Amino acid sequence: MARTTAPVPNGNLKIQLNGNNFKNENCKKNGYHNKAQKNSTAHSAGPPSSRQRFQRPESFENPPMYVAVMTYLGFGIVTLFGYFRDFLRAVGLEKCHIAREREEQKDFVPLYQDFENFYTRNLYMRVRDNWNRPICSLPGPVFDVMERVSPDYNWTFSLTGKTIDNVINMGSYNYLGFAENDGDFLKTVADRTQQYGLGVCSTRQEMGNLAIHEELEQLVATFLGVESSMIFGMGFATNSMNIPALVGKGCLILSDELNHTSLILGARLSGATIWVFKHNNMQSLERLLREAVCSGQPRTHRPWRKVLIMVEGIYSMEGSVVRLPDIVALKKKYKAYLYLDEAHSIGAVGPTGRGVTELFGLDPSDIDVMMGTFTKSFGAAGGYIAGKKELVDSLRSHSHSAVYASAMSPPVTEQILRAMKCIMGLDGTTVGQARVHQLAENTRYFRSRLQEMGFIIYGNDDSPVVPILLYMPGKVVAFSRAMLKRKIGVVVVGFPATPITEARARFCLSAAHTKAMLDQVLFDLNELGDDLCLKFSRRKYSPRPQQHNNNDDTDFELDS
Amino acid sequence: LAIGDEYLGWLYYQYLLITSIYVLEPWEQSIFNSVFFSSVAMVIYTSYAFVPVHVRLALKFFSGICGEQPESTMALKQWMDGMDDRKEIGNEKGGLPT
Repeated sequence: MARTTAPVPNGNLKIQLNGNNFKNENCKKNGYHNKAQKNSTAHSAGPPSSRQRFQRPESFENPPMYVAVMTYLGFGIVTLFGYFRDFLRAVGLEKCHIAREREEQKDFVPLYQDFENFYTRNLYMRVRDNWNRPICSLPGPVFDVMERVSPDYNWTFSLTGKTIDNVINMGSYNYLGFAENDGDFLKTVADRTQQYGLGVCSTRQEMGNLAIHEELEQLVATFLGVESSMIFGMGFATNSMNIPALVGKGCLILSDELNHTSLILGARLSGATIWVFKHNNMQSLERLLREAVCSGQPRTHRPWRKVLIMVEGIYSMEGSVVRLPDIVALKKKYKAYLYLDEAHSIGAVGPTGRGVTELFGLDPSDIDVMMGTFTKSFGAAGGYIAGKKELVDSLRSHSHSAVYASAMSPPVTEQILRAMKCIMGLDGTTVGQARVHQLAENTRYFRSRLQEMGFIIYGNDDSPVVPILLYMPGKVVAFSRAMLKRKIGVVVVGFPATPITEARARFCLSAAHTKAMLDQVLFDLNELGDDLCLKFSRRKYSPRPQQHNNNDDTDFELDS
Repeated sequence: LAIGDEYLGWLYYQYLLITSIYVLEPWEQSIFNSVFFSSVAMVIYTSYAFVPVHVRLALKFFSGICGEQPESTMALKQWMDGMDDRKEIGNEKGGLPT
C-alpha cells in the first residue's frame, strides 16, 4: 500500500494506510511509526494533546448486506407506486396537486418528466412533514415547534395553533451555544444598534465600510493568528463569490468529493478546471497533483497558472475531519495552494476553539486561504476569508461580494465581536473557554455512548456533528416522527443530499446541551433503536472507552 | 393472547418499515399487501404441489444414470415415463389442463 511520501512536521505520528473505509468487522489497522521523521524534527509541533487527537481514527462502517438490499427494494417499491400514481394522474382518475403543464403546452418539450420532479412528486411529497417544520422560539438547546396537520397526505398543511414546547434541539448548528436571547449578554449588541442602526444600505466599497467592520476584521485576524482578514455578509456568498476572484481560467482546482455546494458553485463560476479527488484520500490527491505537474493544461500542456486544493475542516454530512497535516505536506511538495473552509470547525474544535489548524497543531501561515462562517459557532451570519495581507487586499478590490453585496449589518457584527471576545477570553471571563470544553466533553460522551449502543456512526471522534445511519427510507421517516413525538427535534437527510443507500439522521451537539438533555436523548435513541431495529453495528465495544482505550478499533499506540 | 397481539403488531410495523410501505397511503398499502401475499400463497401452493414429485423423479433419473452407464437411451426412456407420471399426478391434484 502506498503511503504519503512527504515528511510531516509532527514528530510522533502514526500514518493510517487503509484510508477511511474499514471493510473488516473488527477494523484491523496497519500503522507504523515514521521513525525517520521522529529524529529529524528538533522540536515537536504542537502540544501533546493535539498530537494525540491527530491519531484518533475515523470510521465509516459498512452495514450488513441485507440492509443495502432492503434499501434498494424499498426504493424500488415506492418508485413502482410512483409510476402507478403518475399514471392515475395522467389518466385523470386522480387530481394532480403539483405543477403540471397546461393543455396547450402538452405538445412541447415536457417540463416535469425528469427524475428530480418524479422523485419530488412521488417520494418527497409523501413524507415532507419531517422537513421545514416551523419553529416559534429561539433555536437554542430547546425550542418550540409549531404543530401542523395535513388532511391530504402532506400536499397541504394547516397549523393547529398549538405548539410543542421544549423540544430538545439536536439539529441547529449552535456549537458553542451563542444562539441566546439573554438581555445581559446582548447589551453591547443593543448599544451598537442604537449607534449604527440596522441597515447599512451600501456595499463595502461604497459607503458601507463601517468602523465596526474594521474592528471585527482585526479581531478575526488575531483570533486565527494570521496577518489580515475580510468579512462578508453571507457565508454561502463568501465561498461562491470569492473563489472566482482567486482563480480563473488556466488554473486548476482539486476539490474533495464531498465539498459543500457553495465551494462547487464558486469553483464552477470561476471557470477553472476542476478535478475531484476521493474524500480524504491522500493517495488520490497525490496522484492528481502529480498528473497536474507532469501534464499541465489539457491541450497546450503549459503549466497551470495556479493549483488550488479545496477542502473543508469538518464535512457536515459525514462528520469527518480533514487530514490537514498530510495535505499541507503535499501542498508544500507540489507547490500548490490550499483553501480551507472551516464553516463547521471554527470555534467547535481545537483546545481553544481556533479550528482544525489548532487541532493538528499546525502553523496558520501554512494555509494560504482560511475561510469560515460566523453562522455556526458564533450565532450570527456571515463569513470571513483570512490569510496574508496581499491576499486580503486583493480580495477587497476584486471580490464580487465586496463590490456588489451589501455589507454586514452592525448588530450582527457586534454579536460576532462579543462571541469572539468571549471565546478568546478578552471580555475578562472564562465563559468562552468553558463552552469550548463543554462542547468537547459533550461530543466525546455522546459519540462513545452511541457507539456502545450499537449504532453506526460516521466520522471522527472529535467532530460535534454526529450522523447516525438509518439507511431505509421507511425507517428514516418513522425515526423523525417518533423523535418529535418524544419531544426531540432531529434533522434527517436522505437522497439526494446523501448517497441513495446512506440516509442518516444528523445530530449537531452544542455546548448549551446539559448532560441531562444528552441523557434524555440517548435514552430515547436507545428505545427507538430497539423499536425500529436501527442498531446495525457489528463491532464490539468495551463499556468504558474513556478510561482505557482498549477497544478493537480505537486503540492506538503513543510510544515516544 | 394480548402480548402476542402486540408482538404481531410490532412485526407488521417492521414489515412496513423494511419494505418502505410505511410511506404509502393506506389504500396503496392494501394493494401491495394483497399482491404480495397472493404471490406468496401461490409460491407456497406450487411448491407443495410439485416439489416432492420433482425431487422423486430427479432422484430416480440420477440413480438410473449412475446404475446403467452405457444405457443412456434407457435412462432417457425412463425419464420420459416419469414425465407422464407427473402429468397424471398433476391431474389428480386437480385444476390442471390435460
